[in-house]
Amino acid sequence: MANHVRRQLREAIASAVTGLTTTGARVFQSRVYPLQPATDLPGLRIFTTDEQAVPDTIHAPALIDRTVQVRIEGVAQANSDLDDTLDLIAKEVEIALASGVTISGKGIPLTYLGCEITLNGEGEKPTGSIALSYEARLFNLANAPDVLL
Amino acid sequence: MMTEDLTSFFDTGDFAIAATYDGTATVNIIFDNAYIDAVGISSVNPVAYARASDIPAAGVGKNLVVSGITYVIRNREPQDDGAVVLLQLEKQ
Repeated sequence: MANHVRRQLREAIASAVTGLTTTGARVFQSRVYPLQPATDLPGLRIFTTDEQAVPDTIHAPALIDRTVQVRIEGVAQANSDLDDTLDLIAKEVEIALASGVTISGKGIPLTYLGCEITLNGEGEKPTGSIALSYEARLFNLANAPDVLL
Repeated sequence: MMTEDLTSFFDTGDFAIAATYDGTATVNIIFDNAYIDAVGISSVNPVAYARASDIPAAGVGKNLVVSGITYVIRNREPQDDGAVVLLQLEKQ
């Protein structure tokens, strides 16, 4: 049995943004602990934060139409030009995801919804994050949440 | 007007240490470097208490060398009556 389609989406996105020039392999899925400056920065955190689902058929098992919210956070620490670094991270992520991702041979478009930038002057160096919001639609039968249709 | 004597608070025999301000002046400070989680990054927050007379308002942007590490003073926050200031430091 394959993984839940939401996990498949998250992992496909992580794969697509791994190896970007600025953030490299420092890509973390659903990271709950703070990033370590010496090893994890600049980096990306990927979360599937929310989902809305509606049945598209009246017969069981229903065809489920899921809209998954994805949050991709670029995080950096720098003495100068922190905003420029965050925008560079955003540029690289947006390009990498512009064509969507492929899951089980099916192309899944990702809709960019906007971003939120946070800058913090406390700490030994200024820190900041840029959270990019995306949305993806996934379809599956109600009794097979691991099989993307 | 009362003149405060802060000498005992900034005695290097107790909690204070000597630091180098703006390249030449030796000032006594109480340094702290506690843990902080800033936008999900594990970090520390270097700050120092100093006599306001040692670090004037124009000191913001100048260097403070503490235990061999160079910091830039990024903010100067007067405490209570203003005789003591809290400095936000940025590691270089």
